[in-house]
Amino acid sequence: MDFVLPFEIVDKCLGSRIWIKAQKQREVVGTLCGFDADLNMVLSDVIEYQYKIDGSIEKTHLDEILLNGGQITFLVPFKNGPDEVLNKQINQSNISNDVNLEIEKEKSNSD
Amino acid sequence: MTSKSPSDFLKNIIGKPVIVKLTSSIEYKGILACLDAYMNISLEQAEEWIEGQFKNKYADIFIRGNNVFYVTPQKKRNLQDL
Repeated sequence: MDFVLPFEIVDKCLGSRIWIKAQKQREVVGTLCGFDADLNMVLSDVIEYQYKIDGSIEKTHLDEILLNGGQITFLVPFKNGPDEVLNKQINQSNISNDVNLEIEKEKSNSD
Repeated sequence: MTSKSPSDFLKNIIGKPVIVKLTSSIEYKGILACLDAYMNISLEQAEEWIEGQFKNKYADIFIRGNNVFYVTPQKKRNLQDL
C-alpha cells in the first residue's frame, strides 16, 4: 500500500516557500531551511501576518527565525501566503472580464 | 539544498542579541544566554516591548518555552537606539 508520512511532506518543502497558519490568528510565510522532530522550523525571508481584532493586518518582515513547532496549526507547502492567493483571485477576475469582453465582441460582430 | 536544522541555528545565535516573540505578541529583546529543547530561554539585559513600545528592562530573565512563538537574531541598530 502507498502512503505518505506527514514529515515527508515537510521534508519535500525544504528550500521552498511555505505558508504556516499558527495559533491566535497568526500566519507566517517563509523559505523552509530546516526543521526537527517537534516541527520547530528555521525559516528565512519571513513575513509574519497578525490579524488584529479591529480587522487590520500587521505585517512584519524578518530575515531569519526559529519558529516554535508547538504553535503551528497547519501548513501549506509551496505557497507564498495570503498575498499570493489574493493576487490570484484578482488575476482570475481580470481574466473572466477579458473573456466576457471577447464574448460581447463576438456577439456584436455576429449581429 | 543544504538544510539548516534548528539546533544549527541556535548554535549560531547563542551569545548574540535576539528578539523573542511570545504568543501574546510581547517581545523580549536581549542577549541569548542559553536555551533548551523545550525552548525555555534565558536572556540577559532583556527589554520588554509591548506593541512596539518599550515597557521595562530586566538584567536576567527566564522565559518558559511554551510561551515562545519565534526567536530571531536582532539587527545591530536596535542596540544603538538605547
